[in-house]
Amino acid sequence: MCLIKKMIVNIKRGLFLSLITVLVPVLLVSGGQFDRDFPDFPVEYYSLKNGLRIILCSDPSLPIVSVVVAYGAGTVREKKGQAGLAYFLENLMFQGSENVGPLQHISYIQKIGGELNAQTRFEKTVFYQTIPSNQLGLALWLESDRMRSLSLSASAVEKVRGELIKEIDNRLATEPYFPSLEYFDTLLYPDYAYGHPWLSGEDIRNLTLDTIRNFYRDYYVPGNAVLCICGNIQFSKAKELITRYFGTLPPGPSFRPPDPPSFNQESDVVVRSLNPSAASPGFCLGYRFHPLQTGDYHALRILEYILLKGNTSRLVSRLVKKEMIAYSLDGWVEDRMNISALKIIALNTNEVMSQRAQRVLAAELERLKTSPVSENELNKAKRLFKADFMRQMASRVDRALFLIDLAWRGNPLDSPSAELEKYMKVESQSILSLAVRHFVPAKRVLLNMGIR
Amino acid sequence: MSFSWCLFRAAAGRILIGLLVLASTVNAQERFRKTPPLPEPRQELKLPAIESHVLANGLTVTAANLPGQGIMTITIIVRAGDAHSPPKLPGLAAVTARMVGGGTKVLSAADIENFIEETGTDFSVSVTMEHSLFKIHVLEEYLDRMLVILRQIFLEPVFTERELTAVKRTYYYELREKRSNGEVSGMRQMVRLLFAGHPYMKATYAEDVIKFINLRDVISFYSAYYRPANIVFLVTGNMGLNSAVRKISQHFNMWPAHPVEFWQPPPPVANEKNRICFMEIPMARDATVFIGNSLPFTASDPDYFPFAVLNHILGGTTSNRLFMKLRESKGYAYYAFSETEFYLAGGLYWIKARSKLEDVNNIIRETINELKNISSAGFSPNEIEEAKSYLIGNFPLKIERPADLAETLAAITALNLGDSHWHRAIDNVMLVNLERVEEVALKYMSAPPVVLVLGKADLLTELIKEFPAIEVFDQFGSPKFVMTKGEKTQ
Repeated sequence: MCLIKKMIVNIKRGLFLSLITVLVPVLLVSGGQFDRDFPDFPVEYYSLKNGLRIILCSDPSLPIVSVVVAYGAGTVREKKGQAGLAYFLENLMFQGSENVGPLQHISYIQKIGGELNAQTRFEKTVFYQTIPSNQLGLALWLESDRMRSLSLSASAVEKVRGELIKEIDNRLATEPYFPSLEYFDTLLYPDYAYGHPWLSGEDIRNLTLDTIRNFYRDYYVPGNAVLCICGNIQFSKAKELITRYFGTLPPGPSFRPPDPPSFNQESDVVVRSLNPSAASPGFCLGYRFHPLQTGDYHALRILEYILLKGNTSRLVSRLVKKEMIAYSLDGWVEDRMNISALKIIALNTNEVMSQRAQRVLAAELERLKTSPVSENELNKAKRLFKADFMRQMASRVDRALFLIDLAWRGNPLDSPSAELEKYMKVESQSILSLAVRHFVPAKRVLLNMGIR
Repeated sequence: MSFSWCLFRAAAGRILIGLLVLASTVNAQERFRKTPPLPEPRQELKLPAIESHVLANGLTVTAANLPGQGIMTITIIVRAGDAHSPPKLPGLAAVTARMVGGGTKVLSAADIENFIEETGTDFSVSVTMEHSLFKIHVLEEYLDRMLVILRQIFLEPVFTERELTAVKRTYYYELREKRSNGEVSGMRQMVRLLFAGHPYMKATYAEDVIKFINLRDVISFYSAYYRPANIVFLVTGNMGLNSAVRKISQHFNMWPAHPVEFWQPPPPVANEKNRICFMEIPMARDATVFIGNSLPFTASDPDYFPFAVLNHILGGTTSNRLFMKLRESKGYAYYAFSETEFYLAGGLYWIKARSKLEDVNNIIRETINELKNISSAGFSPNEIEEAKSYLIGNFPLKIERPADLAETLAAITALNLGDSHWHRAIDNVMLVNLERVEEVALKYMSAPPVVLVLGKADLLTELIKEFPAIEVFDQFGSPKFVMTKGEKTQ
């Protein structure tokens, strides 16, 4: 290198160092600084005599309210040959009840500017709406009517059956990896109740009216439900309305909780699927985190952030940004009852890149078992988690869903900030211990998604 | 009759009556269940003021003070979007926006990302027709640190070949992935068809053009448009205008002022002839149908709110005309909705439906009939009131989350809409009446819309059964040939 060039480099380096010296004190984020709490919301829990569990959460900042009803009627309740039954019922819940015509629930809510939706999940099926708060009575009237008197006519069932079959076709048409993702679940949870596809065209076609009616009769009852109201409400007034609409409903039959799973996997599972309509190859990698010890769950969620959240997370930074061996990488922690799993899905430009990405990923997970995560990296993950948590809490529906999830697991909490605190206390040693116990072949499933 | 028999009969009668009473109690519902309850009085919606201040160098600071969120949102609105890219370099605005934050004189792209994520901040970039938007959601306690980073990013950017290669690569694959999605491709092609010859057509590029962009182009675009007078800092969260101005001016006052040319594209001209277009999506199993036209008025026009009511009646939700007719009643479509989008010079409306191949002609026929009905005053007063009720009731839901609030305010700021879409938005909807909706329907829905169908090549056979001529486009949106009944014209 010529002298002048060297001098320029040195000057630049000097400038860089001096600017960094000026900037760094401003930019450095002190460890463990979680000083400003976000606003908490008063929460109250109680139950009606018929077993319906109630959660009330007050937030007067806008004149709106979210009303959420969750039934313990998720896919875990489906037996062999019934894949899609829970989702079938979710759809039927909009087909009318004694005093509400088909699809009228939707039009009642939409006419007042409300928004509504439903989700079938693993352990529960959830119905929710956000409406102007002066219309709380309307939402409770609608929800109580379909809880007590859903119309399960043959014509309604056939209509929904047709729609679901179209939906399956639509998903197959628009989501090229859809069959692979369903297949991946059967591998990751090798127990029918836990891992079967949530929607099967064949089972949907064969479900009988009696099976559907029995599912509603057994699981869509107050004793198997949680009602959460979150928003601009007065607790006393809300309680009055809840008693009026839900207080006289019969509790419904008693039933057993779902059986615990039996996973028989001794070494890692590696399988290949074909996705002819997909543009790129990729892979799904999953680890079951089961059984979990006290505090493990909070550590697992922080681990999820260390690995996958943000461009500087370990996996995104290395696979997507630095080595460019995956052009898309996503992952998350998923809970099915007390079984948690970490799922990672990558898309690559070709098969060679896919194999390289798998090797790098394996090395990164192995590193977690030997080297503790630094304090800085841990705090970064916690801050990202905190910001996401606060965004989630800013929505009344999301807050209600969160409160229901916790109550469902038997951990009702007094305030969201108390729950956040548990995540903020996770230590790097807990993460190392978690990695050692769970990043093992007997809990690992890999599905290669080929395109030809 | 023996006494005992009489006793038995009396007892049996009492039991029967008892059973009947019980049965009627079980089966009969309480009276309040029969009809929906009346609403309580509507509660007041208190909206924060949107206040602005222009710094000496021309940079605008706008603030909406909303305490109790815990999160601050800064939206940096640069008045330069896809429509500003040079005609030979479509996509330049998007690539430039993605390069911002990719390195400064003292910080590498990795340093910047680290600093941003260490504070739990979410930083994202999106480019619309006329704007580049930098959205920053930051925990209140880290706002000051974030402003230091933003100063670096905007005042001292360094664009490198390495970063450009990385940005182009990622963007290329994103666009390629989107092209296989019928809805995204369809929307892009609708803009291309409706804004042919208009600057807005430049927003309709596919991944094949990204390779033509070089570092000199990026630097030149940045120099032309990333100037204080062309930028608004919109701050939402727990902060008033004075504090926002103080904090932002502390970092951005030193940005030298540069004059910026005022850019005002001409209003679009509505399509006037019947056009049936087809674009092939080789792997698609279904058909996606778009039907729409451009709108020669802006969101600040008095026709905006009546048109919003009209659009809602047509296909705003699953309870409205198109969804009820095409899906619930006829079973032709998986879904059918209508939407609108507005820019600085005008807008467009479009109807979007997805169906099986064999139902495509039915969907087109029914939708065009519905548009004819609408343009010839086919509304009931009840429909108008229900649509208004939806738009009024839905307004607070649109600003519930900090990100939604920031997005709403960013749209209002970017399109220079002001209070008519904020404090007066609900009043403006309330003022809409049947006559005004009929008036805008006649004015804007009478012209024949453009029909675009996306799907497999087999669809052409289906379409030609119903329509005399089909304009066929390739998967990048360029015209291929015109198919007429019995022949194909190159």
